[in-house]
Amino acid sequence: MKNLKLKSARAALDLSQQDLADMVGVSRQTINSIEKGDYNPTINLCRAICKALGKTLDELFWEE
Amino acid sequence: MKKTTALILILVLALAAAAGIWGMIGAARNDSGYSFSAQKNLEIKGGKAEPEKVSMDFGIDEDGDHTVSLIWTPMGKELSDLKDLQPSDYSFITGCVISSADDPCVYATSAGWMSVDTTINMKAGNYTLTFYYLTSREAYADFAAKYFGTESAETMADWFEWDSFKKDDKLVVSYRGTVSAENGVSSNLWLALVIVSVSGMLILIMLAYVGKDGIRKADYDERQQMERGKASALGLYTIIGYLLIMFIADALGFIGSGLHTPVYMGGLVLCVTVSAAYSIWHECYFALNQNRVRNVIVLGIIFLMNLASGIFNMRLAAKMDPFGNGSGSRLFRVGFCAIELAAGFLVIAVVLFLKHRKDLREEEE
Repeated sequence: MKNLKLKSARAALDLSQQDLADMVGVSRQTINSIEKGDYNPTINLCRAICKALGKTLDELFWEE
Repeated sequence: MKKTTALILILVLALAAAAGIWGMIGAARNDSGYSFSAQKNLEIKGGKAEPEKVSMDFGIDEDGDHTVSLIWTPMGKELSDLKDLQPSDYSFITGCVISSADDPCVYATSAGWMSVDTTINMKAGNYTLTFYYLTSREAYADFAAKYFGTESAETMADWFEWDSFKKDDKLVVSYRGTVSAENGVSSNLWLALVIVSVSGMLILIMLAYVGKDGIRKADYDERQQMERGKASALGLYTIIGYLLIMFIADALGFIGSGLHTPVYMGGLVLCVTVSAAYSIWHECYFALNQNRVRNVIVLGIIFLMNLASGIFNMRLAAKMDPFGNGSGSRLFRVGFCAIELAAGFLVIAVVLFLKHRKDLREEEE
């Protein structure tokens, strides 16, 4: 399932996938895979992404 | 593995490698014998070689085992040209004899164009090396009877079906060879010791120092590491499946004897290609993604070189006997393997190119 919340949170801060990838120390393709729902990140990476985007885990990764 | 243990083992292997190199130098120094390189004119007329034999004299300084290696090939001739000259389908039949004043046959062999690494016991003294050109079945049978015994002569002559040399020509035949003394441990064994030691050192360095906790941390994120594991597993399953299928095909007799090398080489190429393609597509193949355009060009050049080599060898093989026991079969196997490698490099280059385009598209989005 696509993670549109992550994509919109990133876009809201005007960050490219590469920018976010650099901030959390992964490759751009990994961010792309998470947004497309191809890859389930570990909790550590989720936390790093949340911290970089100023969001909580629930806001970005909780499926309703 | 503990780094201290690895270091001790590496030092031991380094000493073994040094001993191997020292041994090789010693073996080369101690080598005494005869080494030659010569050219002789040979004329083919009315189905016979003129002169019918070529001789060279040489001397040996020490008694003992000697290794004989001989190569004789017509210069300026492609192997395909030999087809019209040779009595059989796949070789230029020549008898080689080393004789001395005491012994008319110290060593005898017959072969297409080379005879390698035969060990014979020789006493110090003067010898004559003679190449006989055997242009008919009778000539070959006579040679075999004289040097290999009358019982085997007819059987050996039956191996070859020929009439005579097929066309008149002039050849310049190049001769190279060595008759070298074997003192103590052979230089090949020293070389093997060096190779094993250096390989062992590399493996230990990889295991102990390059890795997750080593001096060179892999620069992959968690997803990439997971994908690398999948790529390795995929390569392993591919080769297991391939070998299983080929084993059954081989057992059922679908794979001819001349095809064993290319078929099993194909398994390795397929395994590496599948693993590399998966890794590239999932962005976890270390160096290839750094500069994709350059790497696609390099891979393209390697592909073209292998393809050219494959086509060249296959074309030559097709002019001889690709499924026999001679040069044609060897060229066929080399050509087949080169084409397999070319296919592997092509697939990797194409996947790299497609991945590059996919990433460009994603970046634009």
